[in-house]
Amino acid sequence: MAEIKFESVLAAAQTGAERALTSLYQDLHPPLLRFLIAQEPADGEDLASEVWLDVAHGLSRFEGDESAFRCWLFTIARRRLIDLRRTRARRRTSPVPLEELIDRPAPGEAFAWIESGAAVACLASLPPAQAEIVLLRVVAGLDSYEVAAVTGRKPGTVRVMQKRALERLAELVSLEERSAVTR
Amino acid sequence: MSLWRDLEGEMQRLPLDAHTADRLLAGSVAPEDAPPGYAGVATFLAAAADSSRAEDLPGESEAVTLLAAVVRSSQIEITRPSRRSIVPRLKLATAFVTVAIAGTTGLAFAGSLPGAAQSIASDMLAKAGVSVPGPNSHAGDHPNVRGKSADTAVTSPSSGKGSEISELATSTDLAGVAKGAAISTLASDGKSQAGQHGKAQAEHGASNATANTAGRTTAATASDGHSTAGSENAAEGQSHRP
Repeated sequence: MAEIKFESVLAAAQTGAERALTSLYQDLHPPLLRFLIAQEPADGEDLASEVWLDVAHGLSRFEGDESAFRCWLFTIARRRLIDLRRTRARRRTSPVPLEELIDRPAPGEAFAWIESGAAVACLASLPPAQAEIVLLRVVAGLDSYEVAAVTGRKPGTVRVMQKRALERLAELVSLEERSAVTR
Repeated sequence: MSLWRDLEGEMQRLPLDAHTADRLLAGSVAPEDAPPGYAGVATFLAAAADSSRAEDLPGESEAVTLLAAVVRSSQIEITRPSRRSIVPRLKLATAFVTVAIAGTTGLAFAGSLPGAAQSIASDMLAKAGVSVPGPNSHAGDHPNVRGKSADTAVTSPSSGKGSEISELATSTDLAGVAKGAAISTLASDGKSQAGQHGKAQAEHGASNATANTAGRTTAATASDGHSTAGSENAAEGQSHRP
């Protein structure tokens, strides 16, 4: 989305224009959903809906360009993830009816409808902090400074973490190749 | 033929520098240009990034309709409190200031403010052409002056007595008990009886001396003459022999 175009789309979206909101949604919902599902396969879609509602509540007060909007969206998404994990940690047990367990997709199956979802699933198998950074870089399309702003880390720390993540990812890919050879 | 553990990528993988890692993640390194051992990673990252492209989203129109409604309602929420919040606050502040001014002026008219505040209120209202009593208007015959103790005359009734006592104490006309008695008498305006019992004290001394002499006699009798109690030898400078 070009800069001038984004500004006009944002201005229209802030008044509640559906066409502008559709444009934003189509542009940002797929990466948002992949980012969330990669980390929380069972709750990703619900979290994405909550993130969009938060965005809608604060949209008329938002000021900034496309990059800032993307950062804002993924900052909300990250906070929603943290909230979910805290809530889950507080609940010692969460009894689920048996019927619900049958309907619930397995973590791997959550990617079945996503093309190239296996790659995203493999990214999520990294250590959580590294996975988050790589997902924000690759799936959300943020640069290392934006990732630092979203995660509250220093840019240098982000760069070190993403380097380690890629080294770990190279090991994982190598393991996949090995298993493909032996098969 | 190479073994499974001798794969090319595994053998030749080099440490990754931060800049190259950044470029790989940004998608600006093609798999064929990737460092040794990272071609698979570049392919993998390209696939992950490609999965983020726009596609037909289920429930998109419902979601957008809901978002539009939320955006519009949040705009109403933003504008309403601003209208509600400013006017009552302004009214409240105006009422408070009015009450404070009226109350202070009323107290100033009644002359009930503390001295300094009454003085300031009096000066300020005088400039506005309003006459308000000063801080000492209820002081009767006392001067309408505040805060200068140096100007007040010392009118203590016993102002000269101290210097007289001081002179008597430093003079050499009298000495001992007589001097003390004279000072005491002057200080108490003749009520003191200091120095009048000196004789009685001397009589007590004589009585004590008699008692001591008797004691010495008793002690000498009890010890068959070995006691040295009350011996006059010491007073006469003679050595004592046991």
